Amino acid sequence: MRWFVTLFILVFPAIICVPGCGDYSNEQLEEDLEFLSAVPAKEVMELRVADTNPRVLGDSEQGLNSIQEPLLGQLAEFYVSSLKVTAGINQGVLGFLDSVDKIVHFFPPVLREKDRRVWGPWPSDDNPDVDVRFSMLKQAPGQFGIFFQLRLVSRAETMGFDEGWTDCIHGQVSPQGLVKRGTGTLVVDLQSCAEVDENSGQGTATVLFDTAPDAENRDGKTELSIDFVDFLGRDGLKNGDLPLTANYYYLERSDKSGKFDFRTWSDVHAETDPQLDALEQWDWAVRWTDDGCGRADLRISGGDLGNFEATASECWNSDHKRVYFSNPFASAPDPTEEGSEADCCLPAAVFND
Amino acid sequence: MSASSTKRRSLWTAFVLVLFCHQFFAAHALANWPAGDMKPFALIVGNNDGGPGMQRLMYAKRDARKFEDVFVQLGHLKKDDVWTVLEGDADQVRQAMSKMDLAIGRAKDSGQRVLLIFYYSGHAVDGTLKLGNTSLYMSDVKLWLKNSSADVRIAFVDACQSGEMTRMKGGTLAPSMVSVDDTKGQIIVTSSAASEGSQESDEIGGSFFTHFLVSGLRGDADVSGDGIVSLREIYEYAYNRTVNRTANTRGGTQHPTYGYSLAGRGEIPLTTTYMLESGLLFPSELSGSYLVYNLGSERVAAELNKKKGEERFIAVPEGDYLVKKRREHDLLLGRLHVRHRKKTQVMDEELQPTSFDDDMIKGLVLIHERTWKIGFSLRMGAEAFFDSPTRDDLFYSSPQVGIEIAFIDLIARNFSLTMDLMFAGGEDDTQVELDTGVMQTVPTSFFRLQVGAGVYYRLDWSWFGLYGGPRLVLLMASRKFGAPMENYEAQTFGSLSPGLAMGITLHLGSWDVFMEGRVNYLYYNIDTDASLGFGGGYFGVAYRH
Repeated sequence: MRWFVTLFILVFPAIICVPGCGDYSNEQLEEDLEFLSAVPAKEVMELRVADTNPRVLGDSEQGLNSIQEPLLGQLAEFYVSSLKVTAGINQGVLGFLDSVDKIVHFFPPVLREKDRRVWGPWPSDDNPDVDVRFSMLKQAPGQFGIFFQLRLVSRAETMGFDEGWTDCIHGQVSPQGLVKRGTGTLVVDLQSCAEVDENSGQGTATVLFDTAPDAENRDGKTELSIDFVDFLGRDGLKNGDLPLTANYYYLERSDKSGKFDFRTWSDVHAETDPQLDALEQWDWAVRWTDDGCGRADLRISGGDLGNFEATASECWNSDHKRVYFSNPFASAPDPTEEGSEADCCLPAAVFND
Repeated sequence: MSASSTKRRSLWTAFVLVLFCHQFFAAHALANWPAGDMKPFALIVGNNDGGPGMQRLMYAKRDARKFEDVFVQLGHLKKDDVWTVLEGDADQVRQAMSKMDLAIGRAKDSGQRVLLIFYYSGHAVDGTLKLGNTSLYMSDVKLWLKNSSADVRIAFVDACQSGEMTRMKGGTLAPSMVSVDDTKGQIIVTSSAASEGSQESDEIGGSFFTHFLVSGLRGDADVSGDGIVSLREIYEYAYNRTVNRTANTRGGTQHPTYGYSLAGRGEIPLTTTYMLESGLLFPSELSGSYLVYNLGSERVAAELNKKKGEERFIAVPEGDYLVKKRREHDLLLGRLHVRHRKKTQVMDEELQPTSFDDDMIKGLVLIHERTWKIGFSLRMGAEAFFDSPTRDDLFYSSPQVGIEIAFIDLIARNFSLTMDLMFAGGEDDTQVELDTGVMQTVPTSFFRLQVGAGVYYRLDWSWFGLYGGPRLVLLMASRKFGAPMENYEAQTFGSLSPGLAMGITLHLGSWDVFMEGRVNYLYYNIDTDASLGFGGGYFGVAYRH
């Protein structure tokens, strides 16, 4: 009896565990942190004209749709228009980064390999026949590939874990300097998405970003260059909207000053002369200082204007209230100019063609 | 000196002793002193453990219980008037003495005459009774007996060198008193002389002396056949039987001794065999040596050597018994049932002839008492890894609490087999340097569990002890990270870790206070193959039973 007890006490621990088992690892922690830190945070990628998050204004009466009759001292019209554009970009392209940030933060990866992590798959919210997953690959020290992939659910039964996936959104990120900041690219390839889910949309959107700190911006910056080519998302496709081809450049410095340049095409004569239906080129140059005071210059050219071009300008104070407005297309009784340009905190923009 | 002269000398000594006893009791003309005239109180002490350096006894506790049983069943001793200290220490005995003094005082105040019985079975050496790691001076016991307000105090001491008790004092006979019922004084009966050992026997499952003491008290010592076993009868009986039985043992002949300081005329009846009314009746035609084994209590109840022509009654309670009669070439063995208030007659014809090899009783009495102790301890302390980076960012330093169970003397004497559970936990920061050079701090909560088993060698003295030995640990560690990793699963690790433990302990009766240090080796093979060391210091309390 006593020898049985002795043997049991001594041997029992050895039976239940082989020496050195588990995942108690600082290397794994370091890798997890690197993957997690590589994904840019939504806060550092978000477009905010004059330090104003468009989500703050929303669609309320006091918000983006509140402009009824812009006058001096009221909310600046061009400022609000710029915010509407940033809201669209934030919701569309950068919304994906926000989702990725949430995925890597809230869910541990289902696959942990040396230099690779995989999250998911999950059933797609938009199409029950499609699985989605997200994976990251450490391609080199300080360089990560990111992949948002789709696969038909039916393929899961016949294919291996990594087989049959289509890269729907992909890119590269290079963390630099501070956690969740760096440089990189992001390509939203709706053409590839549509190969698996035909309702995904069409076209591509390419985002080049740089949120790393530099000599002038020690706390980091937000610099984005976004190109839409024949881009039409799932909702636009459903609504019968026209595809978007446009270029946006956004820079917010660490002191919160910044600029936002973008070009669109629209018919300036749509309401005044339906016969002149060619699309004119609209070049926007929006600038703001660290206290929110700013200026937007809109140059309209081409289309039915031929070689003629005109520039409309609006300046606002730190409360985003209009202090100066000039509109060469205004017709009586509307004035072509309100206020004094001397009240503007920034000079007129210089357009680079 | 030749063997024959030694034998003659032993016989002469025995003859002189018996003669002396006979003269003493003759001087105290035996009165028909009814049992129950004196209210008996008893302190019964049994301890197998004699402390460091003493071989553990097998049957001391069992003997104490046998002695208690016979006095409760046949000696008018009420259960409430018995203080039994088994495997206890000297303090527990002293406490029992104090309680007994109070009870005796109350009895005396109510006008009762009181008989005090002290029984001890265990180790004794150099004038002390050895109770585990503690000692009780025989002189203190004698002083207690002397100062007791009981009218008659009788001590039975079944221990090696117990004759020391009768040698130190006593042996003087006070003048006779007038009354026949006013016997007062003190008698000490010991199992061996001052220079002798007292022996135990596996065959009878107890010490020779107590075995014959109990057998006699159950009726075999009732030479007069009046149903009362007196002190004189039991001493003569136990003396003769013990001397005869131990004459050929390896331990040498054991001579019980007798010391007294008694005044009065009363004979002292100890048990009345008719009190129980049930028992085994050995009719006059039977002769030989019989051993009675109680199957209920799993103890030898009595032994008697019977001559033809005399009837003997062994008072035992209702139950099942095995009766064995030893013959020259074989045994007679039989199972008998004793009914309540019935005398069951033993007949040789009803016993089955059995070879010596098939002696059932021999197997039954060899059921050993538990010779090991069990101990429990609570402990707290702190633990840390020796390597600084490991201590800071992998296995964090932490306070620890734990419990331990120890099987003391289970494997071998002075060896303890231990099992313990130790818990450590807390919160710390883990510093991680990313590829970008950014140093990130992750708040971390951690928990460690150790399941340990050790074999320690112990050296115990009366008030302190030392121990130490190897210890094998199953270490299980877990940690969970805070922001930004708060949603990630916990990391876990398990490994066997050999080590050493050493401690010092302070004995406080059955309780110990101890300090202990431990060092362990850990082979860590998750990130890299590394040999790590860690250690801890603890203090705590332990209880041993």
